[in-house]
Amino acid sequence: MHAIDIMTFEALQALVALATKPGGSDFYRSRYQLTAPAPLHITSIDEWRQLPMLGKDDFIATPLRNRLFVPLSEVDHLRTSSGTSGKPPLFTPHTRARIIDDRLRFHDFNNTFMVFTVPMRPYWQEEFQKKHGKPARVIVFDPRNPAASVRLAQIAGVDGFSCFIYQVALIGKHMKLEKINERIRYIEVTGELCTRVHYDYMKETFPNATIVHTYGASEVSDDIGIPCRALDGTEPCGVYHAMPEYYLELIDSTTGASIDPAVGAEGDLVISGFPTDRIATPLIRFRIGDTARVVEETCHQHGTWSFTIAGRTEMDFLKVPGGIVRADETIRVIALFNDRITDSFELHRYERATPDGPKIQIELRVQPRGDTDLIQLAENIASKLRVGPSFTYADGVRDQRYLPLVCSTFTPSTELQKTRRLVAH
Amino acid sequence: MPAVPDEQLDAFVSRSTIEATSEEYRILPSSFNPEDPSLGAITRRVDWEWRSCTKVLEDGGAKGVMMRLPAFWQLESLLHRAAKRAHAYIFINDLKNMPVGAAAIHLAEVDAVVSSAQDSFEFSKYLEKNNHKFPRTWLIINPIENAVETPEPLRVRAVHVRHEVHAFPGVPLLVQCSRLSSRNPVEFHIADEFSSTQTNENTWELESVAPDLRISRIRMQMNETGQCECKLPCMQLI
Repeated sequence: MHAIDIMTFEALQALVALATKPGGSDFYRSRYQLTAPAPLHITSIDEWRQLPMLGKDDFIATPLRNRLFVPLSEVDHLRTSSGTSGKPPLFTPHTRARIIDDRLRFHDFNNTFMVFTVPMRPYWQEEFQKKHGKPARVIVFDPRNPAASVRLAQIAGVDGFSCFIYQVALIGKHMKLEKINERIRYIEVTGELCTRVHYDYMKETFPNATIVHTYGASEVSDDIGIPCRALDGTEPCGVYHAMPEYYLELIDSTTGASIDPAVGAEGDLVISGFPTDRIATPLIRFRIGDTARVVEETCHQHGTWSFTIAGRTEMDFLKVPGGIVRADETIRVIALFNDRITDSFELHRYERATPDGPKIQIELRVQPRGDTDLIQLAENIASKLRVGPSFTYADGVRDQRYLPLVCSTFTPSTELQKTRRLVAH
Repeated sequence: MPAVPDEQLDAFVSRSTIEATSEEYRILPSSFNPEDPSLGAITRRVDWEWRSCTKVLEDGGAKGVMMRLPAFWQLESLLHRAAKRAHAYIFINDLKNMPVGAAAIHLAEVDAVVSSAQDSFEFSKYLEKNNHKFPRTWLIINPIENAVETPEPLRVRAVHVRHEVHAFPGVPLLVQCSRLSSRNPVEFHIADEFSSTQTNENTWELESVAPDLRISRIRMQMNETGQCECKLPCMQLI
C-alpha cells in the first residue's frame, strides 16, 4: 500500500476532528454515526479508509444550513451545478475566493484578464491579481453577448482569458473580428477534454498563447489539481498534481478499494480538503465522479503523484455547450418514435472542425424498424431532445451551437453495458 | 427620457478608453444594449463601491443575493462587494436558467434578487406561473432610457421592491430609500454622486460630483413632489 507521510496523516486527523466536533454541523457526525460527545479521532490510515465516501447526492439530500460549518453570514458565494442532470441543483457554499498562485508559472497577469464567471469569478481574478501586485482589472465574458464582451476586452487590453473549452470558438470568432486574437498570450480552459480538434483550433487562432487546462468542480473551493504543465497537444487533458490543501485518493469504482497511484493506474478520484481556514463545508472522501489515470508517481516539479482525467466514472450524460444530453432523456424521446425504431441506442459525441471553430455533433445510433427515413427521424428527435430545462438540441442547432443531430444504424453489442451507451470521442 | 448628450458621451468614452488601460479604473460598458454599434467602455475607479445596493440589501436583511443581470454589464464584482458589505452571499444565475434561479430561492435561502428591468418582468412571471417562492427583496436596475415600472407579480406580493435608474450600468443616477420604495407611482432621490439643477418647470440637469465620472447635463424630465422622511427631495419621473 502506498505510504502516507506523517504530516499528511496529521492533517487528515485534524480534518476529521474538525468535521466531527460536537456542537457544530451534524453532517459528518450523522454519517459516521457518532454519539459520544467528542470528535472522531482516527489513529491509522486504515481507519481513514474505512470512513464512508460522500457523493453529490449526499449533499443534495442535505439542506444548505445542515451542511454549513460556519455561520451563514460568513458564506461568500454559492456555486452550483447546471441543474440539467434531472436532479435538484446542488448549491455549494464557499467562504473565500479561489486563488491559485501557481497560475503565475504560465502568465504574468500584467494586463486586463477576461473570465467566464462559472470557472473563474471576476472577483477571484481581481483578488488574485491584487495579491500579486498586478492590476486588478477584469472583463467578464458574457456568452449571450459575446461581441459586446470582446469589444470591451479589446478596449481594456485583454491578453489572456479563462473559460470553458466549448466557449473558445465563440471567443475566437469575436476576437478575430476585433483583431485581438494574436494579442492573446494565455488561455485557461476547463470543463471537458481538450480534443485534438480543439487544440489545433486554439493554436491556429491564438498562435501566441500558452494553453493550460485546469481542473476544478463547483463542490470544491479551489482547483482540484494544479496543472503540471501547459498543453502541447499530446494529451487530451491537463496533467495535474494535488494542491497542498487537498488529499487525493484513487479507489476502485466498484469495490471502493484503494488503488496505489502507480504509473498507468486508473481509479475513481476521491477528494479531501484540509481545513486551512474557515471552510463552509469540509470535504472528506468526496467522490467527484471522474476517473483519474496516474501519469507519474513523482511529479518532477511537485513531488507528488500526477494524474490526468480519463473521463466520467459512470457516464449517464454527455456534456454539450449550455447543457447535457442525458441517457434517460434519450430513452424518453426514443420511446416517442417506437413505431420507427427499437429502444436500443448508442449516443456518440464528436467535436467537428468547422469554419467557425470546433462544434459538437451528436450521433444517435439506432435500430430502425422497416424503411425508416433517418434524416427525418434525426430532425424529429432533435426537436424533442432536451439538453437544458427549456432548451432542445434543435434549439442549439438553430443558435449555431451544435451541428445537426444525425441518426445511423448499429447492431447492439451484448457486451455494451448501460453506461457504455454514451461515448465521448 | 433623454440620456447623456451624445457629444459628452463621446468625450467620456474616449477618455475612458485611455483610462481603460490604467490599473486605477474598472471597465464598464457605455450602453445597456449589447447591440449598440457605438458600444465602448466607461471607467469607474476600482475602489468605487455600489453603496446604494448595499443599503438595499441591508435594509432588507438579505442573507443571500442572486444576480440576474446581463454579464456584459460587468457588475458582478461590484455586486459581490456590495453583498459582502451587507454580510450576504452572492449567487450568479444564468438569465436563461430560471429553474435554477427559482431553486436558489427555495433551497439555498437566497432572499434578494438584483435584476435588470426586463428580467424583473420575465423572472417574476416565471416564478408566479410555476408557483415558486418569491424573494423578500428585489432591486431593479432601470436603464435611463426606459420607463420605470414594477412588475405585477411583485406588486401583488409582499416583495420589497427598490428601483434604481442608471446612466450606464454601474452609474446610479436615481435611487430609492426604504420609504420611497413603497410609494406608487415610483419616486426617487437623486443619487449622492450627482447634483441637480432645475432648468425649467419639469426639466432637471444632473451633474456628477464623483471625481471619476465627470459627466454633466444629463437632462431628466421629473417633478419634485416634496420631501421624504429621510429629508431628501422626492422626484417623480414624467
